[in-house]
Amino acid sequence: MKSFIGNPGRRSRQIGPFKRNSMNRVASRATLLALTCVIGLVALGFYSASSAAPFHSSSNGNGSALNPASSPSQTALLRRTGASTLTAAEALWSFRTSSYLPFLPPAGESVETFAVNGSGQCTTTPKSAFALGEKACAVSTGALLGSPIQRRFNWVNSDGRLASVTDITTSPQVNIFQIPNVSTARGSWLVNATSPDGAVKASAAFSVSDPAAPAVDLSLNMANPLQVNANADLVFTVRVANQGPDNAAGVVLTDSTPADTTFVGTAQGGSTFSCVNASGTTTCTAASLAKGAEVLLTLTYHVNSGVADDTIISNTIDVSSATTELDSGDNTFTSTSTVDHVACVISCPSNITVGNDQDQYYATVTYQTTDNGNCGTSTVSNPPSGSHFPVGTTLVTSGGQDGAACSFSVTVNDTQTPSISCPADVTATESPAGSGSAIVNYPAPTVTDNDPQATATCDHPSGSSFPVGNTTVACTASDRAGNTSTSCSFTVTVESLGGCTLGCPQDITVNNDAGACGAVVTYPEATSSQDCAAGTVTYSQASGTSFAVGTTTVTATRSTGETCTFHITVVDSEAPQVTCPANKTVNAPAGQCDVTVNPGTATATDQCAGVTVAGARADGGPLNGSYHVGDTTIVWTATDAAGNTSSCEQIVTVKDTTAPTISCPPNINQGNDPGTCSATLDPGTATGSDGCGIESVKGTRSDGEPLDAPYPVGTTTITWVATDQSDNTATCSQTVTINDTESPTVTAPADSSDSADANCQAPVPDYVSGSTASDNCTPTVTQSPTAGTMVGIGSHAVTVTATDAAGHSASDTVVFTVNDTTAPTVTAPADSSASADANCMAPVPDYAASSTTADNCDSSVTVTQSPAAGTMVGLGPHTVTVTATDDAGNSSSDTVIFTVNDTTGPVITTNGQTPSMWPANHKYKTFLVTDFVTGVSDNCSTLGVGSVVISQVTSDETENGNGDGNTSNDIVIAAGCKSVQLRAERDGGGNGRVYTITFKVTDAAGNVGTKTVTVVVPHNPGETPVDNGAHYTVNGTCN
Amino acid sequence: MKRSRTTRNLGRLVIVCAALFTLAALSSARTASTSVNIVNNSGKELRNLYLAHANDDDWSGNQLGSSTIPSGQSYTLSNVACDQSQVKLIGENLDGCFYYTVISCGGNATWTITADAPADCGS
Repeated sequence: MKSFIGNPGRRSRQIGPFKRNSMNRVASRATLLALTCVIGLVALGFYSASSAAPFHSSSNGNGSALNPASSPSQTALLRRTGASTLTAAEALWSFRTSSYLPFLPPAGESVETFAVNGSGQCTTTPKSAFALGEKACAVSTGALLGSPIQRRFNWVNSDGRLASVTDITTSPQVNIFQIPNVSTARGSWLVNATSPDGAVKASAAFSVSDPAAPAVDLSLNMANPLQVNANADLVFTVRVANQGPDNAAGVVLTDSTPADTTFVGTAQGGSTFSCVNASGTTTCTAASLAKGAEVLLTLTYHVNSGVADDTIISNTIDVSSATTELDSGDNTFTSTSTVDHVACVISCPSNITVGNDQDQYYATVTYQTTDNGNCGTSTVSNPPSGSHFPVGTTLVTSGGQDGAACSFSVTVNDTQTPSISCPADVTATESPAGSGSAIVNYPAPTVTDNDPQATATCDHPSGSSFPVGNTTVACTASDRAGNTSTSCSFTVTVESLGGCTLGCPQDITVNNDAGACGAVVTYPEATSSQDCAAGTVTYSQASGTSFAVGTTTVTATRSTGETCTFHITVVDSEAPQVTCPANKTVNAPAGQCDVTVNPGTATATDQCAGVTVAGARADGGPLNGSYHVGDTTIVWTATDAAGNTSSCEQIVTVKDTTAPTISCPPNINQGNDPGTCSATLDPGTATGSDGCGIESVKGTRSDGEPLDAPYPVGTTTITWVATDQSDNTATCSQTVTINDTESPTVTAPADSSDSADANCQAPVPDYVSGSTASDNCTPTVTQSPTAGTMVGIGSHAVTVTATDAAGHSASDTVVFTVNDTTAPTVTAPADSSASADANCMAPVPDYAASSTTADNCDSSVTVTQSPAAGTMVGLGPHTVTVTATDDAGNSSSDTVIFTVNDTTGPVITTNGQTPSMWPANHKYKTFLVTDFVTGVSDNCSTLGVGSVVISQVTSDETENGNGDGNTSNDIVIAAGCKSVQLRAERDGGGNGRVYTITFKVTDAAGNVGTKTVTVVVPHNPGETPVDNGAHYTVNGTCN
Repeated sequence: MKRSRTTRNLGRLVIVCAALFTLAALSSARTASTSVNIVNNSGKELRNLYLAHANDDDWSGNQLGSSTIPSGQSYTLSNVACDQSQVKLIGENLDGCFYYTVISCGGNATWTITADAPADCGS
């Protein structure tokens, strides 16, 4: 028999109130427990904290600790694997189970088992029942992966041993396990996804059976109260479970009636078992119990009356079956309860509020009180549950043994609306005849409501006068709760008796017209019945006339003799007018305080006669009696005949003309209270006296403060005034002088600095505001130099002085430093250039000397330049940086561009030859550049003879002059300008011809160097031609 | 292989003889002179007359000086040095056009410039 499993991952743990019942089971699984201890510890801690069960249970004979009883709401953790319906107790036990499961797999992480096909491959068919020797497939999904390995498949056999371990390295991952083909492998298996610390993260259970040899693992657990009262029922709740792997046949549960008890009965969720009690033994049998099934049974025994406290009720239950039992160690369970009196505790429900029962002025209310199970049947509630509770609030009290009691209220609200049914229409006859009306009584409307005191109200009450004709009467019903019905109506018809009748109007009551002792009243005409002959109606006082205050009976009389009367009442609602005598003031003779005064009499008027007036002194004295110094009020009241009153007041003043006397306290001169700019003192009180009494002696401080307020340093004058009852006053003055005896302290702020401005100055900061000065009085803080004073660079001591009003002072100093942080300005001269020398270089000019500088503090700024003046630099632009630095090290720079240009043309060197052509036979002769040029030089460029071209050739004779044959193009410069053809020709009458050849060469900078040579044609051999200047020029086309 | 003394002496003799012959010939030529009569029938006045050895360009100055040879007249150059066997002449007319001729030394030569004689005017 395997242990009852509360969680697939926790096979070896006992769950909830059910304790394992087999010591040998524990022993046989010691090794298993050791292997699974890591896993178990986690669950153990959890279960220990969460399984405070309401029932006590014990292991079989080993005396192990028992779980204490606790609240019923805290229940054990059970997991049903069977298909039977949960009983109430089972539901109780399983309550909150899901929220307490410690091994709920992480979201998305699972393990499932599947069948394996003939090829040894995992299929997609879920399977949880396998046979010995079969292969089982487990698939893990959502497993945490990583290195080191985070999950492993653990195959756990029915004994709780690890049969196989495989690392999980992928997700999903398939793992196929060969179930051993040995009988000991039968039972319930697990395949877990386990973390490195042994925690089961996901699990799947499956069974392994031997089809040829069915076997089961029945288990038995039991729960019962820890304590029980004598003469009370003791309920044992038994759980029978079949862990498989096969169905159990012929299951028998036996229980001997415990000592000191009497069998009461059994109950179960379903009808699996059939129970009988005979010969002191309860036997429950079931034809079969499916694998995985669980059944809850309750066996109730009554503890006999008189059983002594501390008596232990022990109950042992056995279960067995006809099928081979794999583990019988947990087929027996013994549990005990101790007889011990527990005081009754009754709990009442919360206050109840309901509506009335339909058509009832009450509600039938049921309620449930609860107790701690130790109250027996003694609990009595009044009114009992199910009683009729009247509308309103009823207090329910419950009491039981041990003085247990509680109470609550039941409030029943009348929520039903009444209904009303009006009587049929009523017809009456005019009465008396000719009155035009009749007193009509009609049946009361029918009111239907749950409230028997619901009433009907009609706008024309029964028994009232109804005029001739039809009158609609509307009625509604309402109950005590204020529920009001809809209205109904009926018609009252007063039929006239015929003959002539005169109907007067209703009585009229009005107030008098303003200022009149009456009122003009207009009343409706009296009405004549239809049977009257023609005639007129006269009235004893016409409508629209003034009716005197009081009630006037008006009689209407038809000319045919019929009469009727009605009343007009005018009420005097206007008060009389009263005028008081003028206030009167009388001076009392010197030394007297009472004077006899005649105040006069008030006058009164009213629109009606009979007004009276009376005066009353406030002090109760006679009006013409003696009046004391001061004001005496006389109230004059006028009252008319209707009792309307009005009043006015007159004041009689008797003045005391003698001033009081006053004596001031002595002047005060003292020091201030320590740490304050004032002193608290009692200046005393002046003393005043007067023959008629002093009204007050008051002192007023010159600073407006209360006399008991602290007196500030300096002099405060108190003006004392004594005032008698006639406001005569006497005054004296008292001075309170408080001397300031304490000196202030001052702490200047930290030293500071500022940057010099354009004038190399900075303003002295306001150190006053940053200084901390303290004094008993508020000191004045100043500084020297004052804030804003401009000072030059360097350090300056500023003195901060705190001076109080008494002339006490204290000083502190702060150093203000002005720093030159402004860099000088420098403006370099304009960019310049120079020609390269023979070495193609030029010296950098002295720009520093010609730069312009300025500085706020330094009049002799140091100016440097880089590169230094005189530095030889080559062709091109060169940036020269000119830097100005002041004495404070501030510096700034400007740049100027110095450009070295190649402005020197190259030099052509010739051989000095002047060829002479003869005879002047008009033939061309070619001259090459190299015939003359021997070299070219330049300061910056590397040039050769090959760079030289013929730029121009001239002749000092015309191209085709006289006596020089008949030719043209005497000069032909070849393409490329490297040679020229000159014609050997000269003017026949001339002095010979001089050709001048100009060579040209250009360097890289475009500078041009030229050189000329001459070729002559003498007129006669041996003669030297004279150059007569160019008369014919040919320019080369090469640059 | 060495040449024999006789052979060497024979060679020396030939050279000496050749030298003596050449000197004799030159001495004879330097001393020759001739005259040239220039007849101008070109139709243009000749203004300049130049001469040089036929094989050199050692042109002389204007043999006419400030004179001219009008057309239809002649002019004789006497004692024309003939260091060579021939002398070349250039006659230049007033247009600057040249007439050329070569004469042999050793006699009196006449150079007649006819009207149809080619004049080198450079064109």
